[in-house]
Amino acid sequence: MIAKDFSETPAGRYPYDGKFSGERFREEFLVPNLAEGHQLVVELDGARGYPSSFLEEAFGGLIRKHKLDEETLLQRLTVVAKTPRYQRYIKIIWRYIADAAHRRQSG
Amino acid sequence: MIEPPENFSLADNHAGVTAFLNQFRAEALGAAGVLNKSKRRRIVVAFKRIRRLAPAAALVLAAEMDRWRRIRGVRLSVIDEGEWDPQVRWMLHELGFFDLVKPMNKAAVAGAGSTPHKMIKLRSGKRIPTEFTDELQAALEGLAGPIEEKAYFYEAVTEALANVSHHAYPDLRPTNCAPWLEHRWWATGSFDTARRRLKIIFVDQGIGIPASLPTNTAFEWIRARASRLGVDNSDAAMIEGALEAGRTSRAEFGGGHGLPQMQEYVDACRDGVLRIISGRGEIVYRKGKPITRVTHEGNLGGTLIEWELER
Repeated sequence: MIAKDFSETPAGRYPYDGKFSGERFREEFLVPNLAEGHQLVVELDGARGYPSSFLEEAFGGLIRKHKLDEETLLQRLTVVAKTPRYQRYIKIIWRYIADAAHRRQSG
Repeated sequence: MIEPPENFSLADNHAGVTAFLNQFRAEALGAAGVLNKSKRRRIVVAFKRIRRLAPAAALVLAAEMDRWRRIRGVRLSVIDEGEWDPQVRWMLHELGFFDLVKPMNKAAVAGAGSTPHKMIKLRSGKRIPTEFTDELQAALEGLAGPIEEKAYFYEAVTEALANVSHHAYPDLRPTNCAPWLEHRWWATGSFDTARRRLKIIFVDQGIGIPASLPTNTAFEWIRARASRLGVDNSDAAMIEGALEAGRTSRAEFGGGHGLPQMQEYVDACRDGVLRIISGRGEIVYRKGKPITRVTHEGNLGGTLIEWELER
């Protein structure tokens, strides 16, 4: 759960932006689990919000920086939100993943 | 003597305000953006000329004083404070302007006053401090009551700071830019008690969104879109293009400018306006209406982002 296990205030792309960047979340939470073939559930509830630069770097960066493919993420990654106001981010996250995959294919 | 315009408002007098700012920068910080600390110039600014001061322009002015203070190591002395327009003086007092300059008449500055625009004291920082949005929210709520749509507020504010962190101050400062304070931004809020409008304002002194775009991988898409709009690659068209590129995801990887979330905050609220002035361009988005754009004669010398929300 991002808010409980990482931060209620995720912000920015890179570590130089601040303590709770998308890159840090990706490298410390997403990559270690996904790279080993685990199923990973990311729960979105409880954070102040999700700035686009954080989400894109965290999730789009899986494709861009780690060369994971969209198909693998579809199999191993589940993004959930229990409260309605966080559900809009699920579609946004998958859009970032799809866009990053598309751009990689386009060269 | 450097004379600011009587109407110190970017909305009504963009040319006058930017001409003043550029003159101040040239004289205070050195010609052609080169700081020459050995040359002692006596800079006198006739602040008493200002009869009308808008909140956004006030923040830009305060940021200039802060730049002077940090780069030169001394505060600009201000004079004739007793002759300043009382509302202008009080607004600047609330903003914290007099902490950034050296008043000669502290009694005049400290006296009571009122203004149609209540201001919160400006904040300034670098990058994205963790506690900043909470602190800003609390200050704004002290001014105007509970913030609507807190998640959208958080995202819009954070993206405004991310925009500065990623794009405003490239490693190599162009020679036509005044000496700058790397990664620094300034923020404030104001509440128009009569019209019940809250403003949230951010400023940086960087290269501006249009100048930062060539490093964006969506740049060619943005330029093509500007051409389809039937306009030159003006600064205003480029800002609008960057906004739309972010909405369609094309600019997000490699560092989009987070502009769509700034617009989404307006859409989430009851009613509101997003204004972005950057370089020589300005775009205004009113909730539910098409974006309007203007290309100005003068260059702001940075970026201003302002949300105006109905309360």
